[in-house]
Amino acid sequence: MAYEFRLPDLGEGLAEGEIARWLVEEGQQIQEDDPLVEIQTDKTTVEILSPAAGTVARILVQEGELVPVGTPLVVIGDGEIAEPGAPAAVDAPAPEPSAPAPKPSERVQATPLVRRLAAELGVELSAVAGTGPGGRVSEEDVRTAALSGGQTPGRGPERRVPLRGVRRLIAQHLTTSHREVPAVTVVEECDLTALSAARGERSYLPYLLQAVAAGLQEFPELNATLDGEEIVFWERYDLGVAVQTDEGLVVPVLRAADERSLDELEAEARRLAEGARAGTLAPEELRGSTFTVTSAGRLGGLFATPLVNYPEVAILGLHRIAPRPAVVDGEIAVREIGWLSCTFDHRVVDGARASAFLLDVVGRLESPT
Amino acid sequence: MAQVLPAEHDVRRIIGDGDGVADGEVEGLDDAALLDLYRAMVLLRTYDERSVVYHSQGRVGTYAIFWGHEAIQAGSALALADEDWIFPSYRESAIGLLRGMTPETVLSWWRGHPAGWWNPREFRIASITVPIATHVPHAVGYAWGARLKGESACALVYFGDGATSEGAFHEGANFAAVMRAPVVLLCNNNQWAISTPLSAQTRAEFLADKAAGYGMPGVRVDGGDVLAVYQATSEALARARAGHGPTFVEALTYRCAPHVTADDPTAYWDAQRVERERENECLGRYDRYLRRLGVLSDELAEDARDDALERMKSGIAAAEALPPPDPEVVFASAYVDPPPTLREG
Repeated sequence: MAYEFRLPDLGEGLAEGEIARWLVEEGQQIQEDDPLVEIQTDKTTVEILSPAAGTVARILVQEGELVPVGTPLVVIGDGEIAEPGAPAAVDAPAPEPSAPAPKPSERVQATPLVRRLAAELGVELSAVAGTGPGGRVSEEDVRTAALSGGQTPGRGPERRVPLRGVRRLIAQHLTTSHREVPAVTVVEECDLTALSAARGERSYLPYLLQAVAAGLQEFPELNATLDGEEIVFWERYDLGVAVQTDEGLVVPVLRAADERSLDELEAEARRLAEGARAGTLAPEELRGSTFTVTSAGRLGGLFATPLVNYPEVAILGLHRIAPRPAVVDGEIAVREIGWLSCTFDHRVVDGARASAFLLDVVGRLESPT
Repeated sequence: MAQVLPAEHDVRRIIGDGDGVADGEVEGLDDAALLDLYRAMVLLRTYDERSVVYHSQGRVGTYAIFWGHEAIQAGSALALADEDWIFPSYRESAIGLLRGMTPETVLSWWRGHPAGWWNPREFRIASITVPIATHVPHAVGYAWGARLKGESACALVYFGDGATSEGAFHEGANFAAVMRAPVVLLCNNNQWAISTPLSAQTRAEFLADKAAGYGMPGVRVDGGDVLAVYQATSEALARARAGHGPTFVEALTYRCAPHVTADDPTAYWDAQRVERERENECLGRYDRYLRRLGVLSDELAEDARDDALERMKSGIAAAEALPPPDPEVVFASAYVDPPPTLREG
């Protein structure tokens, strides 16, 4: 007897889920309630316990694949591993899927409009990876395929990797930011010579966080969110701190930055960065920031134009710091110079105010207490 | 003239903390009855924890979690006489288990299978009500009817803090008081109506104060203390049976689980408070109380857990073995004469 486990609806009306990680392998003996698989949905990642005991006969969907609810994921059964390709006997009652899983032989799912468009643009519909519910091919999918050369022969050697996991979330998030926010970036130079002497073993980050938290209290419209016809002025200073990880850029939230000492800021920023890289942060540690700081060190560029971490209205970047010539008391001197950028949502913040905020932060960094 | 009574503000407690706060006891509860309450809580806890797992496995649909509410449910349900009726909300979906209903039935309800429908008369439990507070007038109507017929049965109706903002709650509560209906209005105040906190629900300092406006007693009880809930419900029932009408019982707890399996409470709740509440959850508190009394042993606790798990295991197997329902059942009891539009297609 074998049990075919299908992707359940893990929310209320979710259409699909991604196999984040298998916690078993084929041939493994498992007990009922042993951890089986981690599923990532639009909402969260869920560890699913095995509904059946026996040998993991076949894993039908690989890690990283995004499949509709109801898709068979794994066959758990007593006895030997099924031959590859041999259908597994299934006699345990499986829950009714809310949407039938498309079989490879089935017709591609697309509306007549999309089919006509595909024909007009010369795109082979069956070769397009549909991103709609149940793998349905959307109008956008067809246009994207057409832009990337369609399926016409003669395109160059290439490697295609599905957009999955953190990268997919980043893509969605930044698309929203770019679409929603009329963004302007202002850049200022900052003389960090005094701070570089005063900071000792500490990095620049806790000083930057402290200066930003203080500056935001003077310029509340940068610590805000545009909510329809209202501007929400946050009366807390929870700073997103961008962290580069192997999976992609992650922005954990350093809470109450205005209430912490330099040592506390440094310790908390380190804890969050390590947690982000290890993937051990709780979901609530990754959301609810009111303003974001990005500081990529030597890889930060001379300056850049960071994208606003939507739905915040502004982001501040500290870019590469290096000895550079500067004018001090009418003389050219070698100073530790870094450039700071501030990208802001021009709907909420006026340019003069953003500049004043940035100069306020520069002033605090140039005169460490 | 009805007398307007000020509600009690002190939260009633019986179970101590094993340290500075001494344990009390409830008159009339012997060791066997204390253990019955314990087994009832273990059964509810096990049902709830297994249901969350079954949901993640696609074996039941979206499920309303009641983890941490077992003391309110078991303490009140076991205070009832057999003849008394229960009017549950979705949070009390498994209350039937305490009256001999099988897990198969309740699991079938959450699977959307008609085998999850029971005959209310068989268990003296009305249907699970998902709309908020609409069953308060049902309970009041039943209780008033029983009184008119000269019967001694009472009704117990469960609802949450959010329900007290509903028109149906007001109508039911007012009618109950005016007609002296023998009903216990048990408000499970877990501080959240999905993601709406109590502070955004009402300007009243205490929900129990609403009782004064209806001219009925209001009491506040620690919803994590099964004995306090038992005692408060018993008193309310005695009052109802003596012809003195309804009582509003506000059982205070904090929901430290999602509203339902489709909810992500980390977006709104107080994580530190959740941690504290989980450490002080009701079953553990009662377990420690019974051990301090010398009533509960490891063996008894293990038996209760094993028995509950076994019932769940056979329950889900039986529910899954049922043949799929006939879709025509949807129409079976809807119309005497189906309208022509239903016949089309």
